[in-house]
Amino acid sequence: MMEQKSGQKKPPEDEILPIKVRNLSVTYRTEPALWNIDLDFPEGKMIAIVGPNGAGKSTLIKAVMGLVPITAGKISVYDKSYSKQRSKVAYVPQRGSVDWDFPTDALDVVEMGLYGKLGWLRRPNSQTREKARKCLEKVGLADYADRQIGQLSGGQQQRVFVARALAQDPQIYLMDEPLNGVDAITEETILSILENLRKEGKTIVMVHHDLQTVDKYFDWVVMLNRNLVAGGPIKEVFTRKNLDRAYQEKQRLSIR
Amino acid sequence: MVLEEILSVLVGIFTDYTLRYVALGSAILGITSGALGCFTLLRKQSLFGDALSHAALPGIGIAYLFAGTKDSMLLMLGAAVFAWFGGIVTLGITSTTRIKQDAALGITLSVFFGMGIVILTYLQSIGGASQGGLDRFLFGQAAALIESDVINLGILAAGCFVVLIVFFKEFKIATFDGAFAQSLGYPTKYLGALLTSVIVVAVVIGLHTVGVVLMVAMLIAPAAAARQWISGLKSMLILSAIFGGISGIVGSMISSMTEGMSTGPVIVITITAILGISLVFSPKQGYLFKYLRKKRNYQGNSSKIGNISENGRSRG
Amino acid sequence: MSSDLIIIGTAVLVAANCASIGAFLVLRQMAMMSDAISHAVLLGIVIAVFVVGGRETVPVIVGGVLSGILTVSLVELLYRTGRLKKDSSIGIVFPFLFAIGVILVTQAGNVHVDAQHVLYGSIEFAPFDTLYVDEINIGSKSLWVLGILAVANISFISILYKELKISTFDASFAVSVGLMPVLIHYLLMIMVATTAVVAFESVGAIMVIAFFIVPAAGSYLLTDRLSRMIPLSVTLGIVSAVAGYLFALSADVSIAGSMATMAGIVFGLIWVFAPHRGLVSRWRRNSKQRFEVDVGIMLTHLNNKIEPHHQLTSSSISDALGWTIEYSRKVCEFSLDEKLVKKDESGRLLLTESGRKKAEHYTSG
Repeated sequence: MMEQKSGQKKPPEDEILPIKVRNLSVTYRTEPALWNIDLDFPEGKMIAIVGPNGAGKSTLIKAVMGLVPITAGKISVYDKSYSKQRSKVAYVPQRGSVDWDFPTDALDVVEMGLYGKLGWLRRPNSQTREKARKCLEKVGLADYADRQIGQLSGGQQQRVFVARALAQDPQIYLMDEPLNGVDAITEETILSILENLRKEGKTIVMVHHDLQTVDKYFDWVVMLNRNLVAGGPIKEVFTRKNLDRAYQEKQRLSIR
Repeated sequence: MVLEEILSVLVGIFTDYTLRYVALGSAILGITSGALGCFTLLRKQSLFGDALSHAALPGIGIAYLFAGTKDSMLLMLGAAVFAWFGGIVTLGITSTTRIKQDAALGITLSVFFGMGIVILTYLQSIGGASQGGLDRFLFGQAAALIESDVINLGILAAGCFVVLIVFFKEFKIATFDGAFAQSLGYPTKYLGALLTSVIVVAVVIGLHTVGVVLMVAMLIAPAAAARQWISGLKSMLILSAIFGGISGIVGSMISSMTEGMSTGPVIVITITAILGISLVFSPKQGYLFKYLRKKRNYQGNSSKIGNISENGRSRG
Repeated sequence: MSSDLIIIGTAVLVAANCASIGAFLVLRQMAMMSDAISHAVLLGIVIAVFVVGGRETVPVIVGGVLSGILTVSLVELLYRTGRLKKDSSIGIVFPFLFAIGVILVTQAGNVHVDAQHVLYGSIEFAPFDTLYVDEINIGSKSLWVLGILAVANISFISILYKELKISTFDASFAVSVGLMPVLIHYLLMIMVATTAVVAFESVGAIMVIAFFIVPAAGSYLLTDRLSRMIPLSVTLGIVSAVAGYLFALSADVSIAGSMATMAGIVFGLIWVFAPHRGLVSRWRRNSKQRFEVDVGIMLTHLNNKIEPHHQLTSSSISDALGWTIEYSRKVCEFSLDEKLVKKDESGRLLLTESGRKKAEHYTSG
């Protein structure tokens, strides 16, 4: 069932894109978290999602993966539902979302990235271990493979998460604030890895906090405020006016 | 004198039928709860096991009331159903009211236990002495185990381990990083329910040897002790199972040397001793002492340890 | 006094004492700590009996309180090592102390406490335990002890009400205004332990929790004010106690168990039927609000698709929003009834002025 849509100046509806979001609304209980979002994520770009706290940034990427129930609307990943495209997407959750006291080492965590391809019943083996080791090398943590994850620094933990995503070898990276509170080396490492991925044509979607660095690191930006404020190339939409709308209207909405 | 007694008990394991089953049954409990307890510990559901085991009590009574036999499989089925139900009630309270988990656990364990006592005393009032065997589930009575019980326990434990081995990878990833597991397509809710089910089975096995009141220690203490020595999940499970098994055997042996002593308390004291030794002497350099020293040095400053455990606790 | 009255009086006083303190335990999220304390007092009681050679009230209470403090401190100690989480520490400390207590009870012949008594309590025997002053019978011992405890608990709560309230609500603020929440914490734990020891005689180690937590949790679903929560909790506790006693009498079952069961039933009723916070009213409210939100979503959708060539009907809405046809129709019909949308001659849905305002209220354009 093809339906006609406009209201946005954007590519024809039948173009296959990494992520298409249509009329998306997400509510937690009865509290709106995202309201009627229409958005296209282009291929091969570094895309930042910015907005004030509670703007629905994390919710948006979680909605893409079906981690939060959708109240209305549709999301497609390369023109199909996410459940059919899992192998094309890697998720990097917020570092604080897991228990770093968990009895496991860095290599083991990276290996978890390969569980999706293994499927049920099949066990990790020497091949998956080797693959995981290579990914750990890419983030500069080869020497820390056997290190208990709780003994890694915050930045190293974040790099382990990135390595786990690399192990998945996806087309799309969905990352929830991977640069939040990390050291300079980690930030540099992660960015150079992502730069290379982008050159390979991968799409990177990142929830980002630091407005100062948006135009430096990213090609594209999505500005959220429960509603979509703007989504497009940095030069076009990352403007003072849009920033004001994104960061002020939320207060108005919550006061109402 | 004491030595002689211990020796005769040890010899008894191989020669005396009763003793053999006592030891075997207690070992089965210790191994199962030790291994599965690792997951309750890591899922931060330590006291959930306490609510589950207390909730099992009315199930035992009701199974007996309806079936009229002390067939251990039936009693365990009743216990399992109620333990599950207790778990659902606890989750239901926390997810639909503003009551926090601790109070929800308190409600479940005390009310279900009360119901259990009502049913047990009812059985007592209608059946006289015939229910006498049921209150052994309060503190456990390994000495009452007979061959068929032990076979049943063995079957249940084997079932638990099959599930644990088959779904090890899935349990691990769902426990460590649920959101990520979900993004890979694992049904974390169902995995959680399956894991709870095997924990319920472990609890039900434990009712025979440790009893409803002290069962919680058998889920937490072996896992916590193993955690002090080990930094990998698989080896933690194995060591925890070994600790649990040892405490089961040692505890039931000691209690069988004394007339009229429940096994539960002795097993619990044994496993707590193992945990104490682990806390003080583990290769993480007797964390206790190290920490206290550090704390004196860096009072007020957040030391590295503080940071790490802070990470673990911070919310997503 | 008749023995029935003594038992009921004892039950009512146990319930009232526990339920009043319990309000703070629920609010401070210390329910399981009180579970630990109520188990651990057994050890203190047994040791006190060994030392004194009989079950004198004062030494027993002192022993119980000391073991309660021991429990709290041991839990803190384990937790502070950083190797165990708080709930794990609780789950290790109290079974250990309780296990020692149980072994001492069962192995020492002269304690006169049996395992059943430990778990069920023996409120049935309250009438037979009378207190003598100068060899004059002054009535039931349990009533006297529980009565004095009630006075102590009421004084504790009313004298330190402000401090308890602030340190429960915001411990760091309490520090900043010099209210010493740590001291309050330990005082509260001492009161919990004292109450647990005294109640132990009547209802045993586990069903004390039913009186500490269950009525307080129930009243927490009925009111938002601490000043009302405490009396309400006490009332619920007393109702459960009396109902439980009557049931136990008619069914010939354990009184303590029956009282705990009644507390659970009372809580269950509140959980389902409480105004505002009960399952029923919650479900009703949620589905109503959810529907309103969905209406808002549809209005916003209509508002954004303003080009005339759009065929906006309930089926196109169902397609765009991923709702079933039936549900889309329901939302549309509601909006038509409420005059938020209207249909033009070709059957297309258009926003009315009030519909547009409502949509813009959500998007705040």
